[in-house]
Amino acid sequence: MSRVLFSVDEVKQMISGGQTLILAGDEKALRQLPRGSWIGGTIPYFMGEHGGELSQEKIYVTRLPEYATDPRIRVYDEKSIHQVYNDAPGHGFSVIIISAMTPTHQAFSLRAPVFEKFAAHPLIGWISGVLLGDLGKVLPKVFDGRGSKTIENGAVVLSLDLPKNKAAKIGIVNIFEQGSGDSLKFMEDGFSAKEVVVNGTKELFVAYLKRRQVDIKLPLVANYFGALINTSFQAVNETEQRVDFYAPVFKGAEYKLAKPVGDYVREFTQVLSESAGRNIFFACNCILNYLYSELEGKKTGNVTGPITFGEVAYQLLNQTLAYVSIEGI
Amino acid sequence: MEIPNSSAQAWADLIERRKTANFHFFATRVLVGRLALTYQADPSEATKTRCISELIRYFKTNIAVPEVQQDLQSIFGGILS
Repeated sequence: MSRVLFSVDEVKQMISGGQTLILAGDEKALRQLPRGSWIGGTIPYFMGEHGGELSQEKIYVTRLPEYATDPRIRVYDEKSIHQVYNDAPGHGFSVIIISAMTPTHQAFSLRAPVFEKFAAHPLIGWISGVLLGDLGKVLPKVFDGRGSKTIENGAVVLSLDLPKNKAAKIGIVNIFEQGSGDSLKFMEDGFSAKEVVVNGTKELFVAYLKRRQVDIKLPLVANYFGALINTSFQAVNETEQRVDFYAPVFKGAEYKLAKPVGDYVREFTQVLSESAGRNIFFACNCILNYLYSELEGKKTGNVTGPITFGEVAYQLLNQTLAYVSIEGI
Repeated sequence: MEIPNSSAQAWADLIERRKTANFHFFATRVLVGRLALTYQADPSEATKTRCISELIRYFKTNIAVPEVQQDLQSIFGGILS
């Protein structure tokens, strides 16, 4: 397997050599990098070449294939992020990194499915984060390498053109499936919910979760014509009778609690093997998978990438591995 | 492969969930899922027309991808050439 984690000095050399890069690393590491053709996001957790790894010194590097051309970097905020699909290349793909827990993150998460040209052009990416012990003390950030500029609220996007005989194909690896239990629907789009409609009957969601003794490590799963989309629980606030999520629930969509998963690594590797042979250009996996499945030091197939605070495969996902492969057509 | 125009009944059947299809491509799944939700929230002729236009634009943009061609065949029952 090729090396994917590099020292700051090694990445400095790549940038100085004129390479266009997509980077993931701790803020202290990314801040040392010179100006150049790169985008980056903060995160110190990785699926490295030796398995799950925490490092505040190393940087995860994605280099562009030779046949990808015309790299363009754009920066968005919550007011302009709706343009992300309109700005996408005609035949190519875009990689997006969004700073977590910001208005831009909120706007993209809630509205991406209704952005003009949603899903018409491949968009893959992730939500930046921080060392979990620094949550609340340090803000996740993204970087526009053209000015070595640190952005606290925003999204950076690198778009690439592909030759006509190649196409970017976005996929996900989700080991969670809908359980056979209750049908759950929500009255509003949002990152939190007080009420839920259970099999057609409205009730308080906190009370429902307590009554059913739900394990909130398991996500809610919606089925979009075969695409299983997770929404992970963040917290159950009994005082305010509110349930918070890491991604929005959407009004009208039918959710079910996920089936329990036995051995994450075994099941993940098995599901991932279905994607074997794909020429994966970039992948990212969720921090909740890393935590709940204790992935540090464990290998999840041959896929590498940052471990993130949310994954983007056209829209925001949770507890999912998202990837883009480039394949001949 | 020719993409049927907006008057083809299968588009409306899909948006209205009167018909399902076994899609291969992730983008097709999430887009059709979202358009069906949009129509469910506002089941008007105007919404249906807008959703069908968006779906046709998606297929026109991505028709070079073999999995997208399969998805189109899945909607129209393999009768396209």
